[in-house]
Amino acid sequence: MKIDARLASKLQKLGATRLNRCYNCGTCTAICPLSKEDAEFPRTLIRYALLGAEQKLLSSPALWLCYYCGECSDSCPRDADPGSFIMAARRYATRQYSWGKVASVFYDSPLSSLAGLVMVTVLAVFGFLMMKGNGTFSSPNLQTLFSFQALHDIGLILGAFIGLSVLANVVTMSRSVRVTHDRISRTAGLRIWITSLLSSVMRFSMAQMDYLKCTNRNRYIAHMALFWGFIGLAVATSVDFIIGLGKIPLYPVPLQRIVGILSGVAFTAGAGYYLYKRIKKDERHVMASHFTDWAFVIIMFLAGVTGLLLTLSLYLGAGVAAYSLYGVHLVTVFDLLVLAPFTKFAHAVYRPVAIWMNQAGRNFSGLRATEGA
Amino acid sequence: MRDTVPKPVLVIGGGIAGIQAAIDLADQGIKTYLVEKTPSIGGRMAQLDKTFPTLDCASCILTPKMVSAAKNENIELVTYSEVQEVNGKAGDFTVKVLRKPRYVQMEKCLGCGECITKCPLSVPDEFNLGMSKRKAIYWPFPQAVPLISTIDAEHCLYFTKKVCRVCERFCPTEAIDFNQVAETVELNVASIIIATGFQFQDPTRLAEYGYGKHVNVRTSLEFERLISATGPTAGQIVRLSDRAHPKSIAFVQCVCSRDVRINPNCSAFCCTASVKQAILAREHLPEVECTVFYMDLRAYGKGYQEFYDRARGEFQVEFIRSRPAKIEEVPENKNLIITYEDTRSGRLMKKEVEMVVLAVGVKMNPIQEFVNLPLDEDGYVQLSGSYLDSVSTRVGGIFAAGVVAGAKDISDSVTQASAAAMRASILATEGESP
Repeated sequence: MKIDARLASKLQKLGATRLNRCYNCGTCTAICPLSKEDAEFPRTLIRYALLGAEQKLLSSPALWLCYYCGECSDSCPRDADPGSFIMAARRYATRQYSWGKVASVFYDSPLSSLAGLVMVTVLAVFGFLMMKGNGTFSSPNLQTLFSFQALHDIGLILGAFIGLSVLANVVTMSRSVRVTHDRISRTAGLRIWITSLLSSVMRFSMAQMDYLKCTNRNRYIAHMALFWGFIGLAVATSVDFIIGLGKIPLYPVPLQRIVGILSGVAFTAGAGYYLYKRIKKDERHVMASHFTDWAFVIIMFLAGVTGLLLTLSLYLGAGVAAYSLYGVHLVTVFDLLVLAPFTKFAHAVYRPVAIWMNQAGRNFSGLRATEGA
Repeated sequence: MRDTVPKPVLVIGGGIAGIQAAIDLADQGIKTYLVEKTPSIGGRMAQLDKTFPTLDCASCILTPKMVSAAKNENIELVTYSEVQEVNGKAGDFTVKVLRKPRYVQMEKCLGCGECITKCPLSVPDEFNLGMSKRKAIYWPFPQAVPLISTIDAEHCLYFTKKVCRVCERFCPTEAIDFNQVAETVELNVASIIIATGFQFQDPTRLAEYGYGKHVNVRTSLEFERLISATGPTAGQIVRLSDRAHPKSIAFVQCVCSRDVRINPNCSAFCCTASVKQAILAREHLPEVECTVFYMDLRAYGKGYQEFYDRARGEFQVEFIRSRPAKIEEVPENKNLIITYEDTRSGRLMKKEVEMVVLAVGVKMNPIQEFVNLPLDEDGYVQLSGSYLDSVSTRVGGIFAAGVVAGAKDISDSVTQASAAAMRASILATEGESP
């Protein structure tokens, strides 16, 4: 096993500031509402980090299961803050799983992160300016502001870029996980993978049942609003994209727009809740915000707010407002989506994959146990 | 030999450290006042059943020392008294001591116990941590020194309701005196030894362990009383829920110790004390299954590692490296379920036991009310700072011994007490010419 002697200090920089205090007593694992009998969670992970066992740390699906209720940090006799450690380890994993380690730009320093964000934003602004359309301020019509065909094509290219990036990162992640879960992935049949996928998706991604074990209702509702708001927006936008092609009327209000507005409200409210909590710092999970947390929540909130105001100004016929909001909206959405595979957003993919792998492993052991008996 | 009369020395606290210091001073011919706030000297050690690592009976070692302190003509026991004020400097301290009224004339009381037998009122016995009753006129324990009855005015029917006076009627020497009042005496001493000892941390602060809520979760000191022949059950280890012998006992280490939320310090003696208690439990109840949950087992003293090895080998006590996260009660049978991660296997486990003993950490008894000594950041009296001086406080002429200067076990307390006595005696013998 390769040992990275600087692993602990890297994680400290990413937010696990009190990692070295750990006595390795196991209170965190035993208090964790998600701990199962076979979980290496969180003490073992801290141990890996302190020993410099990078592969062991990165190969643990448990890393992605945590919802940061903070009970481990509250009951830690050393105030080593295992909850913050898990978050830091995830940041590290997001960095390491990304192809070409591109995510290091967004994790290594606030300055490089900001520079990266500004570059992507400038690129977006430049790109949008290139696709000049023929809109007028008197009767705002977003479909004519830019060349709709160009926007459409760029959208597809970006979609492909994001999809391929996610795929590449997930492959890196799962190859990493298979280092320790090799036995399962080789021998577990296709059936186990499929049944595990179904149960993981239904129970843990769509309803996020485990989240309820970990947190108060408000935070759960906010996360669900964010999650389903995003899905709703994605669906509405896709429908516009596919069937709209430059001729979606304001009235009668099309169905996908109603879905989009409702989803947008949910999404913005969810993002607003998290932003408010991070400012207020009144619960364990928001006490220490890394700059990557701020960036993620602020961009989400901006994207949501501009989207809603944009729709409002369209219906009010406010041309200047509509066009400027559209500009900001497109740029923030661009930042959010293009950077998704390399930022905190990536957990939306890593977590379900980790849950799936974990579930497959568990189903497999369960099957073996019944067969053995 | 110098031609001088040594000045007296004051020892505050009549536990094992204070007793040892007083005896060592007195044996050098130095007049020593031994001030103790409770009615008897003996301190915490008097509450213990056996001592580690030799499993000597604690009373059998302690009682002779208590008696020899009482008999020593150079020692003046000032029991049931509290130091109120310390003034002056090394070589010349003036100390105000409050003598609380026992309502029993010490020179008349024979220690026959007739008053105790006749007293109609029973109240919780603090010596047994409330697990048994004592009378309102009482000896703290049968081997008390001095063996003189004390009326507990807080409960006594005469003081609360102006009735009864039964003890007065039955006392053969007419020693009872309800009109006694507190008096302040002033002592002039060359040096002072603080040996005021410790109290236990409050285990209810760790709500997840359920002390005070789950009846079969007890503290280590309560367990010590339960295994003591002089304890509330005459040495029977029983669950307080059903008075049955437990079939399994779990000992949990570092409760309110090494926990930054409550007390970051190690309390030094709990590890070996729990090893001892597990061994004693196995001796009392050969069927009982004993498990010790520990983070690091600090068996650091002479013979302690061997003692721990014996517990694991000869006595088959199980040691699990883990700090339990929570202890829950099974409502039907009052058993306890301990949730923990076995850190050797990395597995999350649950274990059901019939009794839990919490090795609760300690802190020094407060002294700030009567003497202004700087404390260390760990909350114990600060010592001189020199690695080679383990007894001098930051105030010249005042020395510390026992847990007041940092958590330690009996043998280390006694060692420090003798060292403190030596240093205190130097100041005493520098005193005036005859």
